[in-house]
Amino acid sequence: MELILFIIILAFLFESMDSMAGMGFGTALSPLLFLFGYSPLQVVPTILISEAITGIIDTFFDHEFKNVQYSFHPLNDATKIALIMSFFGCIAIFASIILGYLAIKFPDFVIKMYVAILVIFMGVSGFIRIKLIKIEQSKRRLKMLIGFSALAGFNKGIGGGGYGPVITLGQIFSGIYEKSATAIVSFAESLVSIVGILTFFLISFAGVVVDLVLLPSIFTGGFIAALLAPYLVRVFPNKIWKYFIPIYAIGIGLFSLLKIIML
Amino acid sequence: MPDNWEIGKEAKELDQKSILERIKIEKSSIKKIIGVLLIYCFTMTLFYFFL
Repeated sequence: MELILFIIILAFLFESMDSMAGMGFGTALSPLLFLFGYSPLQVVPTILISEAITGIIDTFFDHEFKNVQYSFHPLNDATKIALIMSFFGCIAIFASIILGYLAIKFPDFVIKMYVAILVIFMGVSGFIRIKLIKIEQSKRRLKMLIGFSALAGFNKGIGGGGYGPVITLGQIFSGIYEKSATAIVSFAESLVSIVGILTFFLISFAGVVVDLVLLPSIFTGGFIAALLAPYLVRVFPNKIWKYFIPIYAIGIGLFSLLKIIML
Repeated sequence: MPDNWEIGKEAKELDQKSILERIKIEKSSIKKIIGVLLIYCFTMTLFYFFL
């Protein structure tokens, strides 16, 4: 077993940002690891396994630190929303891995460009929303939320990514408190990652070899972040997350755009 | 169905309190953190033997 310090640090940084802003772990960490010479079969399953475990820990401590409250019996709003978003996400990740395995490709440039621009647009809208529009914060907009979940799932399913930014900002646009929105995303992403892992197992039976050499390092960095981030979300006031989330989404969108232009 | 989300009620209430109140964590939370750290050690042991 090998522990690589710079991978631990990268995983810690991006998982912290992912837990606090609801986005960025896969979108930002994967291309960096590809740049360091790791292959998709070393990076993608490892990120999914790490995200599944750290997502569960993150969800547990978001509940513990009162960023959000879950209840399964009876199901409360937060749990229902996490399950709705997971439903679309699970279909999407299953479709994207199978399509990737079957080498069925949609026009990569157009899809990635569309998702990057969508994420930037949502980030800018989120920012303008704080500045200009006085919306009643907690007004229930369930249809809008389902629409954003489906859109996020569709984008991920066709291989464009951007699941985290779309469902996080989608929740905020639908009236959910910022701190709780990022917590619910962690819950949904952990369930989606579990389906992703199962799909990888499915294709590994068909002869695809998965390499987990990065797992101890990514898991270690992600684990520390999953403990620390829910606490930081609790301690810092919501006003900070209100600005931080759209700004980080714009950053992720610009990073994706830059990646498309440079490659 | 009510017009407003029930989500985030406790987080909002906590936000009304001072930062010192938010920094404080309960003893039960510390125990859970220790429990999760033990899970980490167990998982890494599994990685050591199986990876």
